[in-house]
Amino acid sequence: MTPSSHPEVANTPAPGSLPWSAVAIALLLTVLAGCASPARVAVETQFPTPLVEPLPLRAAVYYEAALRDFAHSETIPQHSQWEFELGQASVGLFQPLFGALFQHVQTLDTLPEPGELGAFDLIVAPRLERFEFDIPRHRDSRFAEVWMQYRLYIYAPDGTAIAEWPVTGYGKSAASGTLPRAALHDAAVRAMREAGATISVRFASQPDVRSWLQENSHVHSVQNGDG
Amino acid sequence: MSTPCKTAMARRRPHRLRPPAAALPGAASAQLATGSAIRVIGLLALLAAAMVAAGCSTAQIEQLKHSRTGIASGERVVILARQHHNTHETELDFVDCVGNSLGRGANGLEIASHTDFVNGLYPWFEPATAPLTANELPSLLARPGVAERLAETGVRYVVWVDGMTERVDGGGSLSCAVGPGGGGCFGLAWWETDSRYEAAIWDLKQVGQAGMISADVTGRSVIPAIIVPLPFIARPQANACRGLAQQLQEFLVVEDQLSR
Repeated sequence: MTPSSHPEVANTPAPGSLPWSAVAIALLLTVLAGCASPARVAVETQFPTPLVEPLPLRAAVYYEAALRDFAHSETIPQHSQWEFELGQASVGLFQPLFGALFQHVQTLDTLPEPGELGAFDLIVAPRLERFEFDIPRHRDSRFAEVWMQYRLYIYAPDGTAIAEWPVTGYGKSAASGTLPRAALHDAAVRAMREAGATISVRFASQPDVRSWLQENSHVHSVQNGDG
Repeated sequence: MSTPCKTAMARRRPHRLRPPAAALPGAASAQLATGSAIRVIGLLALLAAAMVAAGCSTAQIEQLKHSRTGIASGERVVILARQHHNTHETELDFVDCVGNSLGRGANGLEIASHTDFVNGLYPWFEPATAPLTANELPSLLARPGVAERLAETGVRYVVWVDGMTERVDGGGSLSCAVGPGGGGCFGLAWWETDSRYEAAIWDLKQVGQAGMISADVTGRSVIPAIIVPLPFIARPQANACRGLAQQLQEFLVVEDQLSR
């Protein structure tokens, strides 16, 4: 007996195999699901320790939850959805940076009340304020780009504000494909490195910090300016 | 194969790059056997045009030496990409290609990893902070810890590569179709790619610029198609990499007379 003589037998898939229609539907659903779900870029890298002379200061650093858990979601109209995770990478950028920038550094779990940190010269609380990105959407554009702005809140131990310093970083990376995840990751890392470079090179020469250092007689040891 | 490409001569070492060899006889003879006479004539004419234009590259490599060079055992070279421009960015794979070519062979130089170098000297070689001219080297070396870290890397020469590869021209038309009886392509597409790079060589021992090498390679690629497309792809970036690396090796190793 041949299978063709019994259509019901011929249409029954063999045990362990899937009919082609089911496979095609599954593939279609996978593709549609891929279009609907956002592309995720979790920035993960190890940032280098800056080669700078430490300032003779004892600093307390507070990483607020908004920085530690920073995420950014955005939809590019008629193109794609994106989700960025930058919190852990930001902490990973600042830890070696402040460790090299100050002679003594301690990380705080909570922001202390004014006057509670007499053993320190200053308190630094970085915040990631703005994050923007773009991907190549035209024939002539080749780069994925990231622009970001941190703001460093710098306080004296008594709670007095010393400075609010916005620090920007920009990075771009050549992209390929319609979802340039790797290029965006690379661009974000470059932007963060640039922000870190600015802080490590210019911290002591930031006008408000410089004034505070001069008023507090720390300036005699400061040799880390960019000038 | 001789091509009518115009080739500029290099100041120190001219490079005339050969076009890639064509592998046509099999496909062409199949068409001759089955096609009509008109089709054969058309095919031959198209192929002749393709042979003239295809895969044609011209290269110009120039070198300018400011100070005596030479490299001792244990001294290394690092190749870095200039990335501070708004309009373009030197491709990292090109920098890797030059580094790999320089380090290859019996007379290969010792190449330091550009990632390790830039990370070890962070933040002084970032796009926004890196010195743009060799005149800035003394102030960089005077910064605390920088000269010591550079000595640890063993790097004597920093080679800054600046440039890019871009498509500068193109045209033609190529269309393909598939039907119940089969498929095929017809037409002719071509494009021209320009790879233009400049390498500035800084000598950290003499704290200054040792010289410059530039490479300008233009390649014309062609895809003629009668039923079957036959790509003749020029690779100007690979040729620029090879030319730049050869010239760099000679520049760094040979202690010859100065250009000026």
